[in-house]
Amino acid sequence: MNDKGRLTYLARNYYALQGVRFAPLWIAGLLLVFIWMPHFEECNCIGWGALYTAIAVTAILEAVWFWMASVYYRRRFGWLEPAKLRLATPGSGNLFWWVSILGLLAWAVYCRVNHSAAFFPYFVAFVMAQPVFDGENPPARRIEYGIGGVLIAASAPFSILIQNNGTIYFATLCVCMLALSIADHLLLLTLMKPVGTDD
Amino acid sequence: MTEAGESFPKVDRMVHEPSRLAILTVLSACSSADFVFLQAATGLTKGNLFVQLTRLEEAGLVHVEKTVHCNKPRTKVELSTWGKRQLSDYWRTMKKIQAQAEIQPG
Repeated sequence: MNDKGRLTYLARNYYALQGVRFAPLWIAGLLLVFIWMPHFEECNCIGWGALYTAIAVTAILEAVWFWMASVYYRRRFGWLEPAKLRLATPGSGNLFWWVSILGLLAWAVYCRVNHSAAFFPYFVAFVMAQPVFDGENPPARRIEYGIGGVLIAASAPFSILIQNNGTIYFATLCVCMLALSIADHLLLLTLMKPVGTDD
Repeated sequence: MTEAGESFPKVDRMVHEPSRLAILTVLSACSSADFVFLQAATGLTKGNLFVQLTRLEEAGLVHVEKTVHCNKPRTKVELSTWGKRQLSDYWRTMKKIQAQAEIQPG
């Protein structure tokens, strides 16, 4: 990526690269999956109360972390007002994007008719892998998100196959998104130099 | 025999300077940015960035606005309409020069 490309990419994707803001969400998801979910059926009525409490605490912690991370990014990397809402840049992945969207739409209609929620995990995987379809992203970021999307999507049928109530799917989703958010932050650090707080 | 560089299109020196070109490139990809973002993205020192922004503002290429956000001063910089036109003219000129250099023998 040349300097012009780097600067343009930075200004257009600055907020998307602030991955650390969402890290606690995925950590909390993982904790929920591994610590609490195995005991869910034993808990019965108390289980729902514990679930709501866990979700509420997670939401509060995430909000506090999000605010602190935003302040960190604003102080160290600055602030900008994005140009406008951008969808995936037309390019090499454009045809695949439209084919995938139409395919998912057809599947959503099929699932709706058959009263099934099978569509949902694949839809989430597709939404999470959006950077793959943006031709402006560096190849490394597109590959990372592509692998992440495939892993999330593949974990859904695997989860059904071994009948584990979606635990593997949610765990894969959380691990992939946590890794990708950290990778985004590292990419930001390679693209721009944080400004010291002492000056 | 023509003088050296006479056949090439004229380049706007205000835009051509690398630091100023970096600032204008960042601003062309967003609505506005603050001083810290420009400093982090371009890698310029505080003093150099301030000087370059002053020059760009004097040339009418950017608008600099000083605001207060959460009790802290924020310098917001925005590319002017004239700046957008000058930057796109600059890239057009550079493409012309590149094309001319490619067709000229030697």
